[in-house]
Amino acid sequence: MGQGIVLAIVGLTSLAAYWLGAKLLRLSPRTLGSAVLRMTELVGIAIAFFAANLVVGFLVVMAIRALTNRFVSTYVLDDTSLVMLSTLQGLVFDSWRHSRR
Amino acid sequence: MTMITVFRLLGVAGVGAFLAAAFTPLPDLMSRSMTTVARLDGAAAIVVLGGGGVRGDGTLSDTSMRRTLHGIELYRQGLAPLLVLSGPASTGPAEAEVRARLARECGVPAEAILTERAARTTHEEGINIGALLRPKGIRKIIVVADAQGTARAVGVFERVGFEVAPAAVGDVSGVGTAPEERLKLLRRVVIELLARSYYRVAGYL
Repeated sequence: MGQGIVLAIVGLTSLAAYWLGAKLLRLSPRTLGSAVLRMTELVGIAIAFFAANLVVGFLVVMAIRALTNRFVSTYVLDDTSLVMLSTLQGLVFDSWRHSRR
Repeated sequence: MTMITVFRLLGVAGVGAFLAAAFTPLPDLMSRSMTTVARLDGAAAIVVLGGGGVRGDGTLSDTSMRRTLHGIELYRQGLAPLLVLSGPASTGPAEAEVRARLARECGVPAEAILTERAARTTHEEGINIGALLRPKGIRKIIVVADAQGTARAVGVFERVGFEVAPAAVGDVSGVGTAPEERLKLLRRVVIELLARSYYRVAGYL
């Protein structure tokens, strides 16, 4: 039931956004496909940053363990903030990429 | 293949994975496939692996509490005469000591409890607890760990010479169908898969 409600809410607001975009902002429905494609690029860039953060984080943890007497758990990388920060990195990088055009 | 195409493919895969994880039983299936279930017969010791540590107020984390209570339950069922409680200190008391206090309060005699406070990883637990139990002639143990981590825990302790029966905590049947619960379960599954890969590469399994 819970997941059905979540999907229904998102479906409703998506329809409302489509109506707002098409009627009030006069956006062309034909460009919606390229907008979805652009979304996948953004998500992919964020995923790439997240993977890079995990790999670099793991290497940093191993380096701290090897070079100092301190023990740092790899579970420090298990933090939701890393996902959000990676998303922000992806947004900045993509905006920077598009500013070239 | 251009960089943009790679990003798009990553993005499509990411969105697909998110939708599959949040709105289908996929995380449950993945978790069940990782969980090792064994019939528990008698053993010489019950080993409760550390996990989650002690909170700032001196109480055990939820993960640690669940594992400890499961170990105490198995002891009270008469499955082994010895309860080994693991868990290092961070800024406060050692997790093993807080667990031992809880076990005594639940009626486990002090002479039936052993603690291990130095190990900080599952691999170190295998080494240290092995050094603790092998001189006592103990060969068969029950290892208490989270459901997804039982296979790795069994592998670590078998590698140091024990015959191991896993006792999994955190039955996936209680996860439910809420998207957030499924995503949390997937997170645990992915973390455990990464841990297993690392342990294989490091030669701990």
